[in-house]
Amino acid sequence: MRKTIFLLAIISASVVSLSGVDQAFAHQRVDIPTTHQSTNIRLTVGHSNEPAYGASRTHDGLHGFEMSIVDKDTKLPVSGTGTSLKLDKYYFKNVEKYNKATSSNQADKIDKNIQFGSVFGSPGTYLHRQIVDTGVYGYRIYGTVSYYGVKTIPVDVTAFCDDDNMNSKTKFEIGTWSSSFGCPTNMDYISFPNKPSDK
Amino acid sequence: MTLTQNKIHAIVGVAFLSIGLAYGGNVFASHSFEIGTTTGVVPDNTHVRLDGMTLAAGDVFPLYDSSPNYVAGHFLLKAPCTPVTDGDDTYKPTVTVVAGHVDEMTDRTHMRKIPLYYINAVSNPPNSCIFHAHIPDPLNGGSPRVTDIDLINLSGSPIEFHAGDVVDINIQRTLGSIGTDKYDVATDGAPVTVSDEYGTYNPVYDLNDNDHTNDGYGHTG
Repeated sequence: MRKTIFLLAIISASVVSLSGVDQAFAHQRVDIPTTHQSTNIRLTVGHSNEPAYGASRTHDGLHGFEMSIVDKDTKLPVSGTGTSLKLDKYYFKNVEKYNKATSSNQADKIDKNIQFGSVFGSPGTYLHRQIVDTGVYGYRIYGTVSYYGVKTIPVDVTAFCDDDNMNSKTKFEIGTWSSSFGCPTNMDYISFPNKPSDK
Repeated sequence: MTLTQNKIHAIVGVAFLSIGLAYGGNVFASHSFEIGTTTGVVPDNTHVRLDGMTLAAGDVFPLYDSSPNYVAGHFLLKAPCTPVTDGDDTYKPTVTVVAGHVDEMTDRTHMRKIPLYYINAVSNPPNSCIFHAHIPDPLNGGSPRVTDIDLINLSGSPIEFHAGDVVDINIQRTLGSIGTDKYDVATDGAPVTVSDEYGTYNPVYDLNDNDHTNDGYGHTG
């Protein structure tokens, strides 16, 4: 009897682990008209596992750039063949350098033409894996989105993470965004009781 | 201790159930937006027999309420039917199906007719026809966020349902909370709209006739 219960417990646990796929969710969004009647798609972007912290002795810095695409009114995921998206990444080492910049091309590091792939088994969800450092990150998302095979929507938007000390969060952004997602900070800020700065 | 045959059967049964739950199965839909189940979600099925019921003119028969969650799924209706237009080989139900959200506050209520697909292969008009619908249907219309599904008799006379008449609602995913994504009469229009170019009946599409102007949007194949 004990073996039976044990086997059932293992099977039940495997179901829970297979089905318990969590979705971290980001916090900056933009709506784009589809031209099919009055519908819009909504792109929601940000870093995975927020709040994001730069890689350090105590943190792996694994905060991918993730995006969901849904139909704005129904919240149904928008996915399928015909969607092709790429990503450009911009990185400023600190807010001071970002504030001085007059163009995103003055970023300390730029990475372009990255394939922005969808997450297998999770329609409408996209993820670019990365290990981040502290600083200011910006992302340009561009390409086309297929609206359920009825319309092909051109997409070209840029979002930057948010830091209280920025002189303008939106100066390099493209698109009418709402809300925001935070820039990766130093995890030492939440250390207690021994902040490195106290040593 | 050895396992008895009954226990082995039970374990095998649970194992198959587990695999089914974990992988969700394949979904073959005629609509590109119909996403089906996801891992970890067990579909919620509501089966309502209509046989023997007479719905009085103007009466409402509530079928489903998932408040506060608005949901995605599939709707089936078997009910008395009549040609969409005189002589048409596409039929519409004499009862009207509406979906959306019924709120305690009228200004937060939003109910619209849902687009139906006529399934001629298994229909027996005018006695009884079968219709499918996708909940919600972003391409063809209806309320975008559905917590409630009702039947309304707007035909002007009583509707008598026949043996085998039924509604089956299979809910496959929760899309959000109506508490967060409220309807507002100021931006979303009148709480209840049942009269439009289709009169008081549902818009009906038919993928199997020669008239391709009534195919609707989004079907594949």
